[in-house]
Amino acid sequence: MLAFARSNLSRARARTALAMAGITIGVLAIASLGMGGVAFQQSILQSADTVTQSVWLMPGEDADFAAFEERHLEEVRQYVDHPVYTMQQESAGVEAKKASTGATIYGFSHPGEFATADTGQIPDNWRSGALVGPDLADSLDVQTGDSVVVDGERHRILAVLEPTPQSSFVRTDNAVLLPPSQFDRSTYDLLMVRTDSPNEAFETSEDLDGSLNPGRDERYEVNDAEQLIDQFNQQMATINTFLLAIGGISLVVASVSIFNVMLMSAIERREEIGVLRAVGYHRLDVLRLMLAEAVLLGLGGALLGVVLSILLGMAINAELLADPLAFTAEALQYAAMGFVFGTLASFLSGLYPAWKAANARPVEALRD
Amino acid sequence: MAVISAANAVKEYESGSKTLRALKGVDVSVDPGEFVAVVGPSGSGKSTLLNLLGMLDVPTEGAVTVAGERLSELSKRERTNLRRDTVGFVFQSFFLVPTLTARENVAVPGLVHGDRSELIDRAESLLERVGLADRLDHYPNELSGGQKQRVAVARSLVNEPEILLADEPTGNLDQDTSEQVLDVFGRIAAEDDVAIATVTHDPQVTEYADRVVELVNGRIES
Repeated sequence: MLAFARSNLSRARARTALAMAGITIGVLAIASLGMGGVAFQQSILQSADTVTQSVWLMPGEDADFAAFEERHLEEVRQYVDHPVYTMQQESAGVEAKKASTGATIYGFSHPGEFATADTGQIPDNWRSGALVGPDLADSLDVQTGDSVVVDGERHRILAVLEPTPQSSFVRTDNAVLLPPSQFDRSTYDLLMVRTDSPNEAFETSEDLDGSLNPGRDERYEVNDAEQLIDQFNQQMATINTFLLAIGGISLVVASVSIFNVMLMSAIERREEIGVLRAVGYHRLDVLRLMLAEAVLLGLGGALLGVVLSILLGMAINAELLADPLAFTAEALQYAAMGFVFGTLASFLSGLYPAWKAANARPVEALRD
Repeated sequence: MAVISAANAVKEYESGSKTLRALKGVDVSVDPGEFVAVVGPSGSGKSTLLNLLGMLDVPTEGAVTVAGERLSELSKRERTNLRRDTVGFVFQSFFLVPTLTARENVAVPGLVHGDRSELIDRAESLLERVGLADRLDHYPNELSGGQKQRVAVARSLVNEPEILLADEPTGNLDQDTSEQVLDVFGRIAAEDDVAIATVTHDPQVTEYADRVVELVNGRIES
């Protein structure tokens, strides 16, 4: 029966190929748009590593201190195995040879964790020198090797930083970064715990909240990016739904073309189907034959579509995630979904033509 | 005892507001091994009669009996099954499936039931019988008209029918190839005791037939 259906499809090769191409495109649209969306989401989350893998602490509402002291830092360190970084923040006037302006001054224990150098180098262990954000460097017209004066103290510029990534929560574009030792005070405005994954960050955040604030008082305000990520994922889901709708429309177009092909085939083969009925094929047999043809069309097209979209997905992964095989289960789910929808669409659009062919009266079909 | 018969068969067609009476009470029967030719001018009801005998259509009045079963007592499904098991059809324009080989075309009626390899074996021996042993793997477009019709005859025999119904089987053939097809008919009737009824315009066929039934204007003229 299947062999018979296949041989029937092979008689109008061009038409069969075009109908299959329609399904292929539909499946490709669904699968690759879905996969692309997932890869895009992955890539954003990856580039937002510094935020999503971090827990940051600020003095809480009920704190008896305005900024963290060394003892607070020790308290936090005793609860976590991950590195704890400190940050201080002030506003000050900054002067250079040709210009002067106001800017934010950050004190970072480990500036390499928060920024990357455009020119120059960020030292591992720094006691002196300054790092300057790109916008500030522009407005002061300074570069690596020049010096800036902050609060009357002269600092050599070790590096000009790259623009802050969208996802970073410390904006260093218009700032000067100094070593903590250059600050007059030894208190910190923010503590940051860097973990290895977003999930670890969420767990650490909960643990810390429990350990640091055992009572009802909120001495430490513990933050993580969970809410941020949730929000982002929600937005991505909306975008993905929209993309899938576009893919769905192309699949509808494809099933109309299969409908057309099967209907033409039913009309063209009226006599032949009449003969089948005359030699004892039941209506159900004819229906099954025609449906088998439609499903074969769909399976062929969908299979090709899945192969193509996996190839395309590999290209997208290589571009966005730097690894062609970085498929997530979700991305593969879209491929499977495209396949199922493609096959289902051709089955459904084969139904009416098959029913019509099966119900043609043999006598009329055979009248010359 | 006749294997197929029509008794006082009437067939009317509704066309618009008029009722067309194609058959006006026809009695005909065919015995096993008998070769009957139905002749008559066009519009005389020949094809209608053949459709009734082949259970492709039901009479408005009267009875059609096939292999002892009264047509009016069967459901559509039972009719299809009875047709499959007892009747073979041969058409003027052959109606072979163009994408299948001669062998596969012969096997088509059995594809929905029955064992495939057994079916293919049977198709081969039938093609040998109609003199096409060397054309098993040819496609219809590689065969002459006479060869196509012989493939069609082999196809009509694949379910071991008791009755063979043919509608102008030589209508598209020249004299020599008609001769070959008629020879096959003659042998089938004689060797397998198959009843053959054919509608025809061809004097060659009427010459060959055991009996000729003439239909004029929906009635049998004797």
